[in-house]
Amino acid sequence: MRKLTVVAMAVATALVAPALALAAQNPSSSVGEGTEVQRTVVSGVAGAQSGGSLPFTGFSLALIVIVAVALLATGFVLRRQSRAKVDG
Amino acid sequence: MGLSHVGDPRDWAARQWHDLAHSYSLPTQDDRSRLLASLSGRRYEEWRVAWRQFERHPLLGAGPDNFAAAYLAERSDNFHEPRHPHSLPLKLLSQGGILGTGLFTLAVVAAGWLAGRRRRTLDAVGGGTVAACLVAGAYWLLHSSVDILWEIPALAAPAMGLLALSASVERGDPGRAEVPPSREIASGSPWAARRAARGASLVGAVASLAIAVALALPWLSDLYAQSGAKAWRANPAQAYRRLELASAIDPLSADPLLVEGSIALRRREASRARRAFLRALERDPASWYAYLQLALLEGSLGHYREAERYLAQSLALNPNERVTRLALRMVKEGAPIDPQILNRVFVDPAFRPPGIESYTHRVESRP
Repeated sequence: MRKLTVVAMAVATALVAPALALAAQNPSSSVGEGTEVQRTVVSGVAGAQSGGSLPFTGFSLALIVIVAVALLATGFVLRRQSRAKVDG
Repeated sequence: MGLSHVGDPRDWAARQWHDLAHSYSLPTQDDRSRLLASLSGRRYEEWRVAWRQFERHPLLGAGPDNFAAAYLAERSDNFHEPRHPHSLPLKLLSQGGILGTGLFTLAVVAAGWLAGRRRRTLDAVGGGTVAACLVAGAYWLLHSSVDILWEIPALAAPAMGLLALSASVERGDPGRAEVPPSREIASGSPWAARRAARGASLVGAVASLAIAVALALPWLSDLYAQSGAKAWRANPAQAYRRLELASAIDPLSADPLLVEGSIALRRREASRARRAFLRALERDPASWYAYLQLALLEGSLGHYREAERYLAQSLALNPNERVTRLALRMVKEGAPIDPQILNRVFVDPAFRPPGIESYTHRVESRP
């Protein structure tokens, strides 16, 4: 059960991180709905991909995944090391 | 030295109060500290609207992040459209009511009380750690009373985490650390304690995943919506597919439908545009933009009566919107309506609202 919790927390963190990053873009923006939607439509560029995959939208997920894995690994190593010292 | 910089403190205070209470925008070319510069801006009006929202919904509030529509309905200018009221206490009161504010206050006070109790039992290092965590959390709370900090997860999450940490710092006692708390409890009834621990873990895991999914779906939906918006000129069918997918992924958001309708309106696909805006209104009945676009659509087809009806609904939600007022005048005069031309006002810098300039004259009336 403990492992399940850890896995669930890891998955939750991986899912939440990009969403939070997106939400944190500009909360103090005072641009209105009209300007926002029209800007989105006007910024549509010609020559979009014709395949089924999504084009790059400016958010590097790979970097977040690398950082998340590094942080998780650091946590596990620290925990193991500290436990070994206490046991020893 | 500080006094010589600001002059008579009473005059300085009077000027600052005037700037705060009579919202207008001043160019921020002042090289002095922000604490000494003008307090002009929109905060006072945002706080006023938030307080009125609280007065209308004192017990439960208007619901989290339901500020933008209330501000639009009451704003005195035509260019500032904030989503948050630049104040955590007023945000809590207006959106969570007495109940939400009470729960938040209870959580913060409980953390502070627990931290105070723990600090007394810890050594200098442990006590200092608790104090540092408390100070960071307290500063965040103080600053967020006049700023947008709750809405920035990179600031709010550590602040709340530090508050929680201050209440849970343990003494570094190796002998005690070897015995997990659950096992201490288990000494009386091992099976019951283990079952309780498993139940808590399961609830925690399910709650974490539910929160993550609730946050991740809007993000994914936004990615598809942006992707669809970028593809519409080259491949409209693909763009519509992506926008439909975005709409299905986040069934609470009207944004993908507003983008779809706006694209369809530009492509003069009247029935698709009408359908998209009406669906957007089903999801967000406060979308003045959807009403406006429906009015422009009907106006461009010569359906002036419907256009006028939609414009009236849009103005009821956002009375100071320039495009809506202009469109209403044109409809009443029977002038031809071109949605593309009118929508240019939203994005073309040539149509920048004169609001900022019109407010600067109030500088002259400062005491």
